[in-house]
Amino acid sequence: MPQTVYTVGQLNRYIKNIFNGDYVLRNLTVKGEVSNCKYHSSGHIFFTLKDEAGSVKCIMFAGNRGGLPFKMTDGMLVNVTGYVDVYLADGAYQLYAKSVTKEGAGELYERFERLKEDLEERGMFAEEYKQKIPADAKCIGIVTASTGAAIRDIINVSKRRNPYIQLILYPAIVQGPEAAPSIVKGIKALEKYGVDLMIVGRGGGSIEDLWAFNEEMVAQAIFDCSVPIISAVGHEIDFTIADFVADLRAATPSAAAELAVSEIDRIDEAIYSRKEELDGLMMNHLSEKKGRIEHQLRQLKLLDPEYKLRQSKERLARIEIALNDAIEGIIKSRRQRLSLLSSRLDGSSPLKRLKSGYAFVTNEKGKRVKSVKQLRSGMKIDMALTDGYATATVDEIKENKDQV
Amino acid sequence: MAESKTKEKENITLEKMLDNIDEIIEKLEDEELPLEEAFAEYSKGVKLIAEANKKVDRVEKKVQKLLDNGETEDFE
Repeated sequence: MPQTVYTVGQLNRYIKNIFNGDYVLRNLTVKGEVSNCKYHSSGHIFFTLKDEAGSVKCIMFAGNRGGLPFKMTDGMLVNVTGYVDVYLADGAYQLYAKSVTKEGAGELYERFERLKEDLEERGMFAEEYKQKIPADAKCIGIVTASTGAAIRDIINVSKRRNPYIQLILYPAIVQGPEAAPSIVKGIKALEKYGVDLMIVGRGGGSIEDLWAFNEEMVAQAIFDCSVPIISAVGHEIDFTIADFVADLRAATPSAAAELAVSEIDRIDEAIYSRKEELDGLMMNHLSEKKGRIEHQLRQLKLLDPEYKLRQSKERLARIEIALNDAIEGIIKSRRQRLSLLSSRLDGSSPLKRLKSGYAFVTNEKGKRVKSVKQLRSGMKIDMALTDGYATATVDEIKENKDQV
Repeated sequence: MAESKTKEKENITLEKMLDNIDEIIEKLEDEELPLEEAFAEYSKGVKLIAEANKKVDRVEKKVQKLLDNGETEDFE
């Protein structure tokens, strides 16, 4: 019986169906080293995954690029998650990648989370254990690499803020397996040396680069340290265990220096302003007391007998003047009245009439004679003229009849 | 006794000094404070200001590198 002959297409389709029906091949993760990686202009990425035993072709379609958070390059150890399928055109099976992670990253992240939880439960992140960062640290210890941007940044920022600050670097290894013990040694050495404050950190890097700051021994050393510690690991987005244990977390080494070093101008200002305030307040006290004394002096003056006497004398003098004025007024008005009266008197004087030839007649008893009825014949009468007296005898009396 | 007191004074931080001055300022803000006491507080304050100024170091220092034997040497 002759064997059935299949076409290539039939074979490939048959195999494809077997692959598609397989539960494992529909969703799996494969780890290996990236090689032959090509980013195609279409957006697809073609690469090969290999290990000591062999290799497998991989493709990541442009539509799945969201599953690749970094730039893949040859030599990287990665975990590729996706499905295996057959490419009918050449009958080759390939791994169709939906997401790629760096090998080990997931495991590291898990370790990070586990340690974080563990330390948190032990209270190592608790606020109550955080030491206050001194505002006037004079000597600052730094645990970081002696080369690289981190130490440069810290020195530059510190010296700009306060050129008189003393910085002491413990040149630590901050990457690789020796990093954690080196950082711990640095913290202990600077604590023993006696600094006021420490900055422990390094510049940015991958999670593997920063890993030493996620080690328990580093966390323990920071926690145990009697000197306040500011952590400064990587960039703003990087959080390490060291950041949680530290007394203060700075986003970057530069930021740590800003938190650690007070600006010298601020310190000067803080002292100067207090001096001003003290002087001002003392002046107030003095001028207030001076004012009170002056007031009391014025009060006292009013009670002084000499002052009172002077006051009385002055009053007396015023009264005297007033009195004089009053008397003079009275005298003046009396004089006026007198001259008025005398001129009136003058007008009605009988002497004046005598001058014009009249005589003032009185009887022997000196009584004024106003009517002929007071006269009798032979009666003696006295006549006063202007320049003398004369005595006469009445000879005849004639009464005017028409006069009443 | 006197020795321990001076030592205590040396150990007092600039921050604490400023706090102490602030306390004196608060006392002086009371206008009813008798003049003698005001004078006493003021001179205490002036003394503290002088000490605080002395506390501010004005000598530039080179960055030091701490060696494993506990000694230091100039960095860079």
